[in-house]
Order: sequence, then C-alpha cells, then structure tokens
Amino acid sequence: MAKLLEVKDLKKYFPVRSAPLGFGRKWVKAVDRVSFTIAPGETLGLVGESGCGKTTVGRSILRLIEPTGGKVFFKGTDITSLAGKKVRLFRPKMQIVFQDPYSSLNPRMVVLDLVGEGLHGVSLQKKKDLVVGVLERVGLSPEILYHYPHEFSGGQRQRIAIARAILLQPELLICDEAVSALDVSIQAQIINLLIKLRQEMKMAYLFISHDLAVVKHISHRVAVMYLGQIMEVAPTKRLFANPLHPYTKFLLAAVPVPDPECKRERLVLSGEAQMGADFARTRVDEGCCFAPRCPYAEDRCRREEPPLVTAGKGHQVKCFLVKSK
Amino acid sequence: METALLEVKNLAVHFQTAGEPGGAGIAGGVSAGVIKAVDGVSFQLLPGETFGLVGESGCGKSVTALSLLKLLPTPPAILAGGEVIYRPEKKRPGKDLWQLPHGDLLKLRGKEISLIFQEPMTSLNPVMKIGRQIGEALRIHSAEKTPAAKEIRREVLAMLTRVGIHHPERAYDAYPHELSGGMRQRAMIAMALICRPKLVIADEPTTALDVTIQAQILELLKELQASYHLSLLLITHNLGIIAETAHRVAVMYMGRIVELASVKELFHNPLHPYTLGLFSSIPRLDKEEALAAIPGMVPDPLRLPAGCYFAPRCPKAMEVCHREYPMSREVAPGHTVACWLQEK
Repeated sequence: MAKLLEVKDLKKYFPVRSAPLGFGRKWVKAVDRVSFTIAPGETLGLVGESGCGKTTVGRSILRLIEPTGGKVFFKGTDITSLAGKKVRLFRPKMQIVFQDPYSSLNPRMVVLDLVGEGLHGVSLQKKKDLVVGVLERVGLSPEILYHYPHEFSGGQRQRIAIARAILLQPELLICDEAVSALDVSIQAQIINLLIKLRQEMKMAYLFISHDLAVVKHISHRVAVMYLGQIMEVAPTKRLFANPLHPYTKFLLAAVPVPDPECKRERLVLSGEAQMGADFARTRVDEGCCFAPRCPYAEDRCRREEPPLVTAGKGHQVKCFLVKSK
Repeated sequence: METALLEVKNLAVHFQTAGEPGGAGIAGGVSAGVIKAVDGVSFQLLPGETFGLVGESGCGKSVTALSLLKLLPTPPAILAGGEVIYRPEKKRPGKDLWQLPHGDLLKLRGKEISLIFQEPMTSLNPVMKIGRQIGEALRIHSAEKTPAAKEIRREVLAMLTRVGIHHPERAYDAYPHELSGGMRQRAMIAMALICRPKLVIADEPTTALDVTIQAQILELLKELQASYHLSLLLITHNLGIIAETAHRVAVMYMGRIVELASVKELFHNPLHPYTLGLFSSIPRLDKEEALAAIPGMVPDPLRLPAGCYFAPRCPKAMEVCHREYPMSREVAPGHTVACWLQEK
C-alpha cells in the first residue's frame, strides 16, 4: 500500500522550568517515539486523554512546532529536514482544522478573505468563484462572503474553518478535536460533512480526538496514545471489538453508553496520568509508562519497556501481556 | 406518589439583554430584548432520586439549576415567575425558596442544598487552601457555636478520605492549583457534602474531565448518593451519563421541557422528535449506524418561532406546529411530552 504520510520515531520534548543555568534540566516527553503511516484516502483516528500528546503529534507533522527528533515523510519527502520556504510548498497539501472555531478564525477578516487566504496570484473574481464553490461544498450560502466570524454560530464557524482548509484541495487534513466544541446535533452534522468531503475529494484524515465514539465513527484505523506513546494501533472494528492493551480496555469501558439496560462489567481505572513537572519528576525512564496504573502490571513491566508487537493483521500492541503472532 | 423533596412549578427566568438595536447578523448577532432562558419549567425531585436535566448548550438547564437557589445576578436575570417548593420534612408543608427571606435562604445554601459546578478550577478559591475551603461550610452552618478548629479538621479529613483522596493530609494543605482536575472535582464534592445536604445540584460535574476520571467521579457520586440518601439534580449534555446515573430525566429545548420520563422509558420509547434527533445524532460505541443529524440550528432566542420552537428543524412538523406551542401531555404514567404528534 502506498503511503501518503509516514511518521517515524517522532519526538517532541518540552523543557520543564526550574533548572538553574540549564543544568540537570528535565524534559517532558510530550511525544515519545511515535510512528505510524496513513495511506491516501485513509482516516487514522488518534485518541487519548488530555495531555497524552495527540495534538503535539498533529502540529509536529505540519511543523507548526519543531519536533525534537524523528522523521515525517509526506509522499516520500522528508519534511522535517526541509529548510525555510520549502516547508511552505507542502502546506497546501496538508491542512489542519482546529478545535475552537471561536479562536481559530481571525475576527477582523471577512469570510471571503478567511477562506481565500491561501490563494495567491489570482484575480478577485477567480478568488470569489473558488471561495463560493468551496462554501457550497461545506453547506454554506454564498451570501456570507462579506460577513465576519462573530456573526456565525459555532457549527457555521467550523464549516468556515473546514472550507478554508479544503480550498487548496489538500491530500491530508489534520482534524484536531474538530468537533469537540460542538453540541451533539451540530457535531453530527459536521461529522457527516467530513465523511462526505472525504469521499468527494479523496482526502486522508488524521482525526485527533478524545471522544472514542466519534473516532470510531469516522476512522478506518485507530491509534491509542498514552503519555506520549502509541499503545495500540488497529483497524477500527478490530480495536473496538477486541481491544488488547489494558489501557484501551479501560478507556473503552469508561465511556458512558446511552442505554440504561446496558449492564457492562464496570471497569474503573484507578489513579491518574502523571503529567507536566510531576511527570518529569516521577517518570522513570524504564518500564511501561502505563505500569503505575495498570492492574495487571508485573515486575517486568516496571523494569523494561515493552516493544510494539504485532497481534494480528494491522494490529499492534505495546504490552508484554500480549503474545505476538 | 411519593412526596417530592423539591417541586418546581412553572419556573420562568428571563434575561434583559442590551445589544445594539438592529445589529442582527446571520446567526442572530447582537440585538436588545428579553431572552426567556427558562420558560415554564416544572418537575419534581423525589427523595433519594437522581433527576437528570439534559439538553444542548443554551437550552436553559444551567440557568434552571442556578435559579433554584437564586444564584443568578439580578439584573440581568429576571426571576419572572414560578415556585420552587422545598419540602425537607414529609409531614410539614414546604417552603417556596424564592419567597424565603435572604437570611433563611443563606442558611439552606451549602447546608441542606449544595452545588457541584463544572469547572473546579474556577469555582474553588485559588488563594485558599483546600481544607479551609471545605471546612468553611461547617464553620458557617453549625447550629449553635462554631465547632473547634480541631473538630472541623477531623471532619474535613474524614470527608476527603470518603471522596477517595488518598493523601487527605496533603490535600488539606494544598491550594487548588496543586491538585489535578479529578482531585479538584473530588474536593468540590467533599465541599458539597460536608454538611450532609438533602439535595445536591450537580451542574455538568464531569464535563471538564477525561473519560477515565469521569468514570471514577460518576461511580463516586452514585455511591455517595446511595449511602447518604441524597437527591441529585444532575445537569449534563451527555445522554450516556444520564443513562448510567439518573432515574428520571427531562429533555430541555429552548428553555422548555419537551419530554420527561423515567430513564428506561425515555431511552426505549422516546417520543418527542427532538429527543429522537438527539439519540440519532450521538455516535455510539455499541452500535454501527450512520449519524442522522438534526438539520438546521437552534433559533435565535430573541426571535423565537410562533409555534413549537422545534418546528423549524422538525422532520414531522405539521401546520399546527408552526402556529401554536403544544401543551405538555401525559402519554404514559410518568411520561410527558409536549408535541402535537401526541394529540389524539
């Protein structure tokens, strides 16, 4: 299968304050050796709880933040080694939709300029035509060209943000919690829109979200992150039907199911993920990062880090308890 | 039927808005007028029951919760009408919280009726240590003389342990920013329960938390509710939380309750088109279905439609729906719906 995007050993470390003169400075490993691929037209869901590094992965791929290490290949070109202006040549092919449509649109620009900002060297008429075309595609009326973002509801703003991202016909769209700020009835509209656009424009998505149900709905494959690392990757159906990593199991069990009759085995994970400065202080660089909360952890889990093993077709798990096939 | 602990009758809360006249945009920009945030809401809360209030943002569920204890600033809020009858003793007649003298209401707040807010970071005092904040209610509400500091400390520590904080001594002397989100919410719950209230109003208590922490907090709430025999008014936008925690539920839309039923009844036999729409627009883990989104968006609260507020988005709207707002009708015992489709 051809790869559209390949991420190899991506790392992003942030320094923790309070290190005099930089000696003995601690680092938070926000993203720690993350690798995955996305095929053309494929949607990879990236799930995890807050602080697990999923947003940092998305932004590092676009080089909106500079990764500490690792490589990102887009259609075979290593974007991490590109200098200055050359990065920009790739940006039209890789776009992003952010979570909060209230802060991601410039309040002083009208829709025409917001959506058409990526166009260079085209006449005003051409720009208008293109913008109107893309607005219709996302379900907005062309009459809004000269309106400002504050005149729109959250759902409409998110449609504008999507229009802006797809104007240049990207091959990869990174959706960073793109539907999380919306009410359920509007959220469903935007999810359906994203699914429609994916089919029409043959785009690949990296769909970053904390909401497992949404990710399940839109993704072909899902990667589960915990404290900067990918714990499990599998095709969507497989992951939700047969989660193998203990963390994935707990995560799935924690989602409330809208059915009062549904009596599930109640799995409640104890403890909390150690983050930020606490994390740097308490984190031992050996062992599995989930071991402190894992009820199945053995001595070995605290001593060595488990490798990512293949447990089935396209199913990889980072856990000693899972036997490789 | 059991005597209700709290009976809300025809509650109406309005807001006076001051905008630029004529500044209406596409989605209803700023313009002045009176917004009927809560418009004739009635429900009962039984002793020991969890009653869920569910709806999307702006439907008036939080305003309902805050207005019960008169916690909204007036102005801009206008407590336009209704009764909030609180009946702590079954045999005695209840009292209307809205008619109580301010001093009497203060005595109830935090003692018999307490609140858990959504964002513990903004609702806890950032410059006061956790232990002192929790003990504050005890100091204020003790019947005769203020208990000794030692006594208060002992009780606060016991409550911190009760809500699942592993190092209560450490948490006692911590400031809110030193605790994680889950721990802050536990501290918030401890604060709400320290005076052993009869009624707790929880306004989106887990919305700001991660799912694994949310599961912990929901388990804790359920367990505490059973052991203290609390009545819980649970406000949330998440139908999953309702299904797992509540006994009865009311669905709100544009300041009105459109459907009210027991959780089982509502989830198995939803009748209002809005409730149906909500169900089909949530992506679910347990089913594979295409999402059927509700078309359109909520109307501008300053320009409400003449008939049923949901009619412009309703797939089954009839001529009468656009003309007149439907009355609430009991279609099965304990199941009321405000919809013209239910009129026979």
